[in-house]
Amino acid sequence: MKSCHEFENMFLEAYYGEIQPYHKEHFDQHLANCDRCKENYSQLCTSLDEASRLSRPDLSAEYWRQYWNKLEKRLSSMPSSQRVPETRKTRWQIPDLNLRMAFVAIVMTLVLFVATVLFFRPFRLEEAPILSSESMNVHEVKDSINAQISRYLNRSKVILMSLVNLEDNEVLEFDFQQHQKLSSDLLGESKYLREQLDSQDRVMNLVDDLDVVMMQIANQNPKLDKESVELIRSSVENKELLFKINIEKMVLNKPFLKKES
Amino acid sequence: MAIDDQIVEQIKGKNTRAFHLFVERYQKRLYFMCFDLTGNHHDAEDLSQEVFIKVFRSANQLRANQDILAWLYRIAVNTFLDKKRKRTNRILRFWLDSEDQTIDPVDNKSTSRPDNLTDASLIHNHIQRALTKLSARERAVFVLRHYQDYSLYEISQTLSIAEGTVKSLLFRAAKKLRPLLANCVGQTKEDAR
Repeated sequence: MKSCHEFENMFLEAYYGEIQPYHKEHFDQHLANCDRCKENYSQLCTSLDEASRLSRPDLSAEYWRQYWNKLEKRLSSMPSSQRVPETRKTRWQIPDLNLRMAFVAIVMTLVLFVATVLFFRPFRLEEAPILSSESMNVHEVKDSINAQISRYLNRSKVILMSLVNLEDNEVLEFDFQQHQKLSSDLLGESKYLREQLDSQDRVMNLVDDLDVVMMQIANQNPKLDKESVELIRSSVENKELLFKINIEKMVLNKPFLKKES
Repeated sequence: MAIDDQIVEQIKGKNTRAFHLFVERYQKRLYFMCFDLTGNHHDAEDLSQEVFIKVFRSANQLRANQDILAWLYRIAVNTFLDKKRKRTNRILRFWLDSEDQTIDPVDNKSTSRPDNLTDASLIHNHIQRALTKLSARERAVFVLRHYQDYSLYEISQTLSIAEGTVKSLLFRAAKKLRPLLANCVGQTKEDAR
C-alpha cells in the first residue's frame, strides 16, 4: 500500500498525463479515499491551470520583419573572427610565416637535443657492456665475459709463444718493447677480468699465473738478452701455461666440455 | 534530405540567405520560448537573437537527423542559465519591483487596485511574479514542460540531464508555484466580483 507522500510524487505525472496506466488506477483510487491528497492535487491543478493563462505578446508581421533586420545588424557588427565557428579556431595558430618557420626550427632543435641526450651519450669505461650486468641477462653477461677471456688468452698465447720459440740468434733483433707494451695491456685486462671471475675458478688461477709472467716480461730490460728469454721460457714451461691456455680455449669454444657444478 | 537539413548544410557554408530562411522558420517558436524563460519582450528578443547567432557560428556541430527545435531550445536554456549566472535579470526585476508598488498578490496585503488593472494583465503579472520565484533551472524545466509541452524524457534529452533530475526540478517548481498561483486565483476571483 503506497503512502500519501508517494502519491504526491505522482501529482505532476498525473496532471501532465504521463502517469502509467497501472499507477493511474491506484492514484485515482487513493484520491477517492484521501481528502487531503484530493485537496492538494486539486490545488496543484488549479495553480498549474492558472500558470497556463500566461499571456504572450501579440507581435505584428512588421515586428518579425524587423526581427531579421536586427539580427542581421547584430551579425554584421560582429568581428569577422567571431563569425568563424568556435570549433574551427586554432588557439595556437601563429599568423606570421617567419614566426612559424622560427617556431618549427626551435621545435626541431629541441627534439634533436633531447634525442642526443637520450640516445647518443658519450661512452664511459664504467658503462662498458660487459660490466653492466643490470642491463643484460645472466647468459649475455656470461657470453661477454667468455669472449673477453678468450681474447685475453689468445693475446697471452701469442706473446708467450713468440718468446718461448725465440731462437738464440734472433734475440737481439726481437722487438721486445712491443711485447712489453702488450704485456702491460694484458695486465690491465687481467685486473679487469679478475673482478668478473670467481676466485675459485680455474681460469682465475690461470690468470694469476699469466699475470706473474706478464709482469716479468713488462719489467724486463727493454734490451732483451738470452738469460731473460730463458727465464721467461722456464716460467712458462714450469707452470705449463701454454698447455693450460689451450685447455681453457677448448672449454670456452665448446661449453659442453665444461662441467656444470 | 529534409528541407531543414538542406538549410543547415547551407548555413554551415555561411550562406546568409539560407540562414534568413532558417530564422524565419523558427523565430516565433524560439522567441515565445525565450519569452516564457525571461518573462519580458526585451529579454526574449535579445536571448532568441543570441541563440540564432550561436547557431550561425556553430552550425557545424549540428548532426544529421537532429531535432533542430530541441537543439535551439537547448542553446536557449543554456544561454539563459549562463546569463542568470552572470547577472540577475535587472530589467525584469526593475519592472516587477515597480509593479510591486501597486499590487501585491503574493502577500495578499494590497487592497486598493486600479480598475483597469484586471484580468489578462493582472493575471500575467501574477504569473510572471510567481515564475521569478523559481530558480533558473526550475524555470527552464517548468517552461519546457508546461508551456512547450515537452515530456519529462524529452526535457532530459534536450537539457542533457537525468530524467530524475527533471522530475525533481519540476516538482520543486510546482511546489513553489502552488501557493503563489493559488493566491493569484483567489485574488483575481475577488477582483472579478
